[in-house]
Amino acid sequence: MDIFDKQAPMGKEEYGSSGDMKKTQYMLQLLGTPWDANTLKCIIAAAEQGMEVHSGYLDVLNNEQDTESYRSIFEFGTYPGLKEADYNVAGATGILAFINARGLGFSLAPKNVTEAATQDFWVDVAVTEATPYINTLVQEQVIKPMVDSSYSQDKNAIDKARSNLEPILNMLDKQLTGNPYIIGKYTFSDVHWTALIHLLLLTDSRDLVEHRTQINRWYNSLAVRKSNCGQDIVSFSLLPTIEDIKNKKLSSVIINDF
Amino acid sequence: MGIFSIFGRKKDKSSQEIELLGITGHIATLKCLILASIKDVSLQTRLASYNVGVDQINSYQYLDSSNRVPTINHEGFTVSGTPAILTYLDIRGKGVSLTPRKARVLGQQNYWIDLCYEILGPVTQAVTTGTASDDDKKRLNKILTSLNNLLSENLYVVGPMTFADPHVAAYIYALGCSGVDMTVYPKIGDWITRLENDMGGPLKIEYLHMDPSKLTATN
Repeated sequence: MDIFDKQAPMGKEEYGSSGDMKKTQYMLQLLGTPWDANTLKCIIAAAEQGMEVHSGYLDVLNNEQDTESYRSIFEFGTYPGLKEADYNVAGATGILAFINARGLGFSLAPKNVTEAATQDFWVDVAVTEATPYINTLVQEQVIKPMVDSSYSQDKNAIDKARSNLEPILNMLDKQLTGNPYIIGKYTFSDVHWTALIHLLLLTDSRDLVEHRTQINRWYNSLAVRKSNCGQDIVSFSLLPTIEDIKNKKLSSVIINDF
Repeated sequence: MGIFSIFGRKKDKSSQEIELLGITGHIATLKCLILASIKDVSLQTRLASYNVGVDQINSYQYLDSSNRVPTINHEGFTVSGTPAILTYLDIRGKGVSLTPRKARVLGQQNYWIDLCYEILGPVTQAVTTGTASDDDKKRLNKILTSLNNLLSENLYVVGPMTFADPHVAAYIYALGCSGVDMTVYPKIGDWITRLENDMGGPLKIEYLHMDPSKLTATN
């Protein structure tokens, strides 16, 4: 039994044991944390593409990613980690690409050259520009106070993160003007930004989102959007609440359509 | 034939040449140049002066459109940042796409791209600026050993040539320029040779303009 089977067990049921076969053929196991945007992106993508995922908590607060049981699978300790039978891959970009290729829905990566490049630009902005500042806010305003009730927030770090996020969010708000999704159609760029904006809304800095009309409109539309694969599931509904984070609870993706 | 000698000569699918604005010594820019060479894309390059830190190797630096690098302009379309530019050049370029069709290979391709950003990039930065700690050197040796082992089984980083190759190769060139002894990783050297054959010749590594006085060995 490896760390996946220990912390994200598949359950005893097997596909077809009840006489019905689901459309999805693969069972995935995911290890991550509910406050990690990269983990949430994987859950969103799995729901969008109709892939069942059994999720488990990776205790990064106690450096579980550096333990032998995890490093024997992922030698550099990167996470989230995904397992499918005899295959393992770590990191959001690897997992997202794998799920997208395995899944049931239309590809989340556009084929048109300018759409594909524009999508990658917005993913790049999310990953390299927005993520470090949102991580700072999540750590300072949610995780550190959760771990230590006497923790005193680093105001300078918070102010800097907020200040640096302003122009990035302005750019996103402008991009969403006239577009239902970030580049027009639903793509990986929406997956990346959904996770980030959701986490930002769980912090005390949620006002950064709330006063931006277009981001709000786009985010609220995702709350009722059916999955890309046509299965009866809304990926947004799997995102964690603040209570889920405190309870270190990650949603699994269960497909009930047969 | 060096990478710069091909610019302006080869033709891509479209009529108008693609313009690339990059920075000398900038690994993100180097990745674009390597991929353009692999995909035989003609680029009109404008390399800005080396006026940003090497620590910004993976970022396009600024949100202000006038300062983003690398940036490409082509037939009225402008986009910035390595991932977007590599995607654009791959689709515009000759031959089959570098995007693998098999899900597992796709996952491994992106796993190595992630490792570039999370591990190889930071330790390369430390080495090229002469600030590498013992821990940095150990991490560098670990990832180069892992890559060397992988390349003893694969022709390219994850099997077929993919986006992982230009990503990883850019750091290998930078490390080579910084005096890291790559002969202890012979499979990496063999892979670079294969890549250069695919590109039509070796890179002119002086492009990186590293300061020899700041070099440090990593092994």
